[in-house]
Amino acid sequence: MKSRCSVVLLFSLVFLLFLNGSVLGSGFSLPGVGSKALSMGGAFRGLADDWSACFWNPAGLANLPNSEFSFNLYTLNFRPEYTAKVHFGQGEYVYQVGYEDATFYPEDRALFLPSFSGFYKFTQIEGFSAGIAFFVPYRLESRWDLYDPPMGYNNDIPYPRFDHQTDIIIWDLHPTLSKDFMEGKLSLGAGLSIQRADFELRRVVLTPSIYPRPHEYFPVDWNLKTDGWGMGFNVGILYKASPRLQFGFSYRSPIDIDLEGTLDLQMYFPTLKPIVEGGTYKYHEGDFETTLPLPGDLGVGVAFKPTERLTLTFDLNSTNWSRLDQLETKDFFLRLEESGYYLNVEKSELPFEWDDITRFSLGGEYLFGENLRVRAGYFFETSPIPNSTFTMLIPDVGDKNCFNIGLSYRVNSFELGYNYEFVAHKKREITSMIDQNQDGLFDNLPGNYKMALHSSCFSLTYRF
Amino acid sequence: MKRMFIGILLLTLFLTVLVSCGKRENPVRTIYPFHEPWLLQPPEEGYIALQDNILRESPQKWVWVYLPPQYDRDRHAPLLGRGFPVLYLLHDFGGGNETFYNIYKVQQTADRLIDNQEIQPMIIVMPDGSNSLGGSFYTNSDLTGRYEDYIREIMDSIDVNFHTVAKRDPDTKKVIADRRYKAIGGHGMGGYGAFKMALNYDTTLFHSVSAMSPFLSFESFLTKEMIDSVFRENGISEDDSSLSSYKTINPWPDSLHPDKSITQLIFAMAAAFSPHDITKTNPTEPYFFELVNIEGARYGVDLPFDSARTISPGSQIWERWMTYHDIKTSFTRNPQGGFGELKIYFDCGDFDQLKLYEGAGAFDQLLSLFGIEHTYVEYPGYGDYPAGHSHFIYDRLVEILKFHSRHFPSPTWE
Repeated sequence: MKSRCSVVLLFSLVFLLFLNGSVLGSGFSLPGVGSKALSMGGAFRGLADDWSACFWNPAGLANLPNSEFSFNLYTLNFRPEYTAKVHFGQGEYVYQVGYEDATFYPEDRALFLPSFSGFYKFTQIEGFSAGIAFFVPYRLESRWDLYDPPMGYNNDIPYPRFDHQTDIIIWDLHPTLSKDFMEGKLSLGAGLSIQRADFELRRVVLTPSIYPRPHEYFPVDWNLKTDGWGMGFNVGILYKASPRLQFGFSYRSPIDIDLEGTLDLQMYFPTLKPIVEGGTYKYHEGDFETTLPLPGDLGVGVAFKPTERLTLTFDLNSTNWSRLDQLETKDFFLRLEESGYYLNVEKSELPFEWDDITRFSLGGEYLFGENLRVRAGYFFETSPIPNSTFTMLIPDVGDKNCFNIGLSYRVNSFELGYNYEFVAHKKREITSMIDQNQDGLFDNLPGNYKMALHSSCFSLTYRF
Repeated sequence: MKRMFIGILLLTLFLTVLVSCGKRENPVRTIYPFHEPWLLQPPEEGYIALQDNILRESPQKWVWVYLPPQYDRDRHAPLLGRGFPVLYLLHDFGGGNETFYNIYKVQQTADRLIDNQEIQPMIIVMPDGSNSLGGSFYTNSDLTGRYEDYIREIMDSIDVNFHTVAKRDPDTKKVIADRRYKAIGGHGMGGYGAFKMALNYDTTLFHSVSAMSPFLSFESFLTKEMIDSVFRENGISEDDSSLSSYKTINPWPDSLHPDKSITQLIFAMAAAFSPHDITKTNPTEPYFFELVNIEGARYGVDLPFDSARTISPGSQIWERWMTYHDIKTSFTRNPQGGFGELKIYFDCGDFDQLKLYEGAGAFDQLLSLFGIEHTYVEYPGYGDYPAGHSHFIYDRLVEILKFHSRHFPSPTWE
């Protein structure tokens, strides 16, 4: 037994060493939390029988026999690929504007994402269970070297190497309370989401100039660094129709995160002597405020046990990403204009214009012997991002087919779990540059996008 | 059995992840660094052709020279059959010797094309055709200087002082420049100058000629619309055709009339093509516009249109423009011998603000009519960036360099 655990642990650690990158479910969210739930493709609302129920369906916590403490480590390998076609004109008259027609990859970076959760079952009050979890529902990190200023910036005005960057992480501190009714047939649960966000974006904004090609646009390094807090809740219902069949329902509220931080805008001038001396000019460096509207989620799930050893689950849920229509920056640009700087921006929001999405999930678990559980799962999910605002900053490329496989092994009060996930995205092709909000700046990047994701989740749970 | 199952499962996962983690390389982009040009110092007294100009502008003008990476900068003499071809590139109105180098990046473009073996290494010579009126039109003028002759002086200097291709004259046995390795091109005013030099000297000087958005037909250019622009820039209302208002026209911007770009262009052309006869020291003609007064002597230009905004068909001034300086007219006078065996390329944007595409298109048809082999391209812009007069010169330069390179004989450099 000891050697078997060592093998599992060893393989898991080796995985960690080789995995790197970033990950996403829809938009910039992770596919879910908890090794077991992920192994079952996120089809967990009807089962909800471990600590991660606080995320999937808090009603499930009422049925946990023990208190739990769990440590999870997500490791992520994010494999986007972007073949840029950011040029103008057509046929024999094709003009580059700083993006080469070539295939690009983000910088490979190791990314480890730990989370902790604790769940304490009150015994003093009959039927009540309470706990607190700490997990990461949103995470995305990538750095791209896509843009190079055209000739004329010479060798002496270096543009930042990583010109398109995303670094988003949102932590969720999640106290939860649940209670069962009808002799355990019905349980209800509710949780509070206290979310802390670090939200950073960096991109190139090409602003029209009065000079001829190749300087018809001057690049502006648009660098946003913010953080902030938001609060929401989730509720759930779990109903046991029979010992073999149960239904779950859950709702997660939308959350507005009030972000504060800085927005730096640095324009790069080419050397156009004797008219323009090359160099940089910082349009603005400093305060910036906006609101990040995060989506709510509504889902139902079923869990069915055809035999004592086999569990099958199915979930259907919808996420209203359409809340994320734009990041308002109006006051900021008004203030910028008042202070004498004009950035060729008539309107001043950063458009997203995302759509609602639907996911359906399937999962299964089989118990070998007394302690070994093997699981598999699948989910299908659409992408919320339209072509008109799509860039590789948030590479949710297309419809996703996600396959999971995992296992866990119990040793006394401990359970060691592992999940491997592969997500294949449908390719996306964007053929034209679009100015979604008609502010004179392009909001998407044309080209061909591909995306695959390999990730794993290692968990160690202690029950008491 | 169970142990084997778990082992195979983990091994499969491990291999899958390992394969998926292969490092991917981004494309390596070659940067062609900026290099300062070679500056050809003017003669101590200045260029002879520019001395004694009435505007009293300096005859000392620096010439910018692009030298290819293969050029040995320590060696400055022509070599028999083993030097570099030379392209003379003439800048546009409002530009200077630095324009192609600094604005249109000819150095980095040429370095890239040479590196990619798309063109053969060549010397690119960029003279200074500017003057206080904005441009000389590379024309011999008593008022501004003899700029056509000035280009000839530069060519003589380049032939002697640079690593150009030379040959031995069969008659005199002297080492002379091999004209098969010489070409001339330009943009706008420079394109006009290139064609003018080509028509005047054809194959005795050059092997090929090119022009980007050139002035090829004054008839097409100096339209009623263009003349109206001059009056408008000078604050003269549309219904005002009085001589007194007409005489207020001048090329100098002021606070009331800050933009006089068309007026300046017309005055520069007039200074080149119709400087007022300097023997008339006290001119009274209505078309005369004074530019300088030297000790009571008034010097200036004659404009080809009158206060009624028309060009009289019999106007002597217009006749001077057309007979001696208009490319299309000059070519029509001698269509078969005009360009000799010169290779010819010219192009124009289809949204040229000066509507030069009309003259270029007419010239294209004329060359075709007389069976003169040539290439003409009228190119489009994109989206909200139309193909204006100067918008795509950076891109068209690539075509110009390829065109001349193609027509130079095989490379002779080592």
